[in-house]
Amino acid sequence: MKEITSMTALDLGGHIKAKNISVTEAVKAQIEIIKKREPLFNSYITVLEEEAYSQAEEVQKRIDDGELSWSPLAGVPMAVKDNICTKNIKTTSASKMLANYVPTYDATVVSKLKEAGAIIIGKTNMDEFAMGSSSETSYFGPTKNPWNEKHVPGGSSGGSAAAVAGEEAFYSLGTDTGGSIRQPAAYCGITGIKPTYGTVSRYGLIAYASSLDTIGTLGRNVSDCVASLEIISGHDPLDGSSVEKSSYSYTKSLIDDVKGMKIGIPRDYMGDGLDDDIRKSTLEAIEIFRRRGAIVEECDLSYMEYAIPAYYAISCSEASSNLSRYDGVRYGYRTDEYDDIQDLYMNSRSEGLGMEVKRRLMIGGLVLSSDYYEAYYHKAIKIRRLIQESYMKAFESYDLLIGPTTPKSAPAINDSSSDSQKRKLSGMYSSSINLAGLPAVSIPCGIDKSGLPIGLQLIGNHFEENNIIRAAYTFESEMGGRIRNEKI
Amino acid sequence: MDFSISGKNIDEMRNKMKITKETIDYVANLVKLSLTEKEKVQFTKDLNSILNYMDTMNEINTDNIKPLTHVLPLKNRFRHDIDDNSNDRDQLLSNAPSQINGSFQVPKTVV
Repeated sequence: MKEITSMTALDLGGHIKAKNISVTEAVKAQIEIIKKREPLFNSYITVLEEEAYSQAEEVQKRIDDGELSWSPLAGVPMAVKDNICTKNIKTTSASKMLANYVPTYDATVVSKLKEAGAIIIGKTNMDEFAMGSSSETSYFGPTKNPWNEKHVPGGSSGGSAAAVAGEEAFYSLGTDTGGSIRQPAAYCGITGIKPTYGTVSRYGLIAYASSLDTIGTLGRNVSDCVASLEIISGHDPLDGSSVEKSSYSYTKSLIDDVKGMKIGIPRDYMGDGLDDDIRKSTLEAIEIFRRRGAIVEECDLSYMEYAIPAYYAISCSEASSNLSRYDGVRYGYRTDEYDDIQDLYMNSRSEGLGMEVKRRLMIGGLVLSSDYYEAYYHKAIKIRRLIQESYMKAFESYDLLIGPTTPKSAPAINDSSSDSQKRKLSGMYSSSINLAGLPAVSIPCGIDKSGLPIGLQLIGNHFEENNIIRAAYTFESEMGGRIRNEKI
Repeated sequence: MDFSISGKNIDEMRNKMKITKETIDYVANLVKLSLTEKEKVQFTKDLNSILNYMDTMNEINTDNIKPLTHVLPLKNRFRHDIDDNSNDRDQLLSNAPSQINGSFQVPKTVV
């Protein structure tokens, strides 16, 4: 039998069902690897060793009683991003503000995972309050990329991606507000899915930008991502923005065939600033799809160059509103220095929040203030309509769109250099998708000349995950399955 | 209220909207942050830069465009006005920095 921690989540689930491996054995193997690799990668803020063993006993009993025969991932150890509330387990959003916050309830996605017999083995590291794209703004230190520890794993779901890539978890939950599942998945050589907005309940997700935040899954292959996405999706009366569909059967779309599918490749996606290796890889991917019978054509999108300004105006505005709850009153960090209530608010927030968070609150506060509201916030939400409509128009002719997930591979740690062309491309690949609420998957499609992974992104129309899953599954099978990281 | 910006007016607007120390102080008070001098200098720079970037949106005429506040066509979801709260005061206070007699304790709020 293969090394337990190198299996896919579904393989392990199958072995557990067949009684080849017990849940406790799986947890033991996973904890051993976590202990070995955490000093290198720092994927986790909290590792739940004791809790995992106790969950294992409970879940094993449920499996033995026949209660979990419907659940393909029962007993499989997985990780949850630390901005998702887990009852009685510290949930910090990687911030000093919530460093000791212990939720009194489970997020809906966590309840669903528990019902399906998942073993939550830890809470993963991330950018503070999900604001960032490298996981370097975490109050608990940066996470390293398992492919090269001098490089970032991406962000904000960097810990979730590194845990899966470093075999410290079989699959994980992440969140994507402006690319934060897909970009780390690409940087870490794994698969990541951001479903259509409204598919997965946000109840219990520590909010950043409510109209953009989306919970999704990261895994070693498309099947693992899809199986776990199925568990967490579905209408939730506790989330007013969740759509009224009770369940989704994504696994039906795991079909190795793309004959006749119409795939568009936006010209804007392939513009200047795109790294040569990634350009080459994307063009090769196009040939693979053509060879399998898909029709792949260039297409045009409009207004994509305004994705980043609109994203900043909207996400920072929503964040300034969402983070106003952190006032030192009911939970979270409270300052020791105060004479009156204003001091309490000001000092708790100023001492408890990091620089990047403060920066975004300032931008949001500015954009929403009366002198600036019309020119910036109101303008941005109109641009948002234009961006969404541009995608809708493309989907009249195409089943899905394809392009790179990122303009280059994972940067080095502390490399804050930014190139305006690359930034523009990132905005198109990442945030424009959230502005439109579309589903997208990032799958590994190669390694660049520096030995770092590259991701291919497939984008679907609202609620058409079936198309992107099918195309991703087909592509993955053409590539010979998952890309293994020989370093670990 | 809508804003039509022609090319000529963008520069006018840019000068009017340039971030000053006063703007920083005003916004910091809105978002309840007390900033160090160093942070104020950094944020003045950052906000000017991001404002310039956001200004590019004004290249597009959006006079007849309806704003998009929600990506999917959902309407208000209502529930019946029934009290379904449980007796969980202790739970709700479990993360309180300071509590007194079953309430959150704070400094005097009304002066």
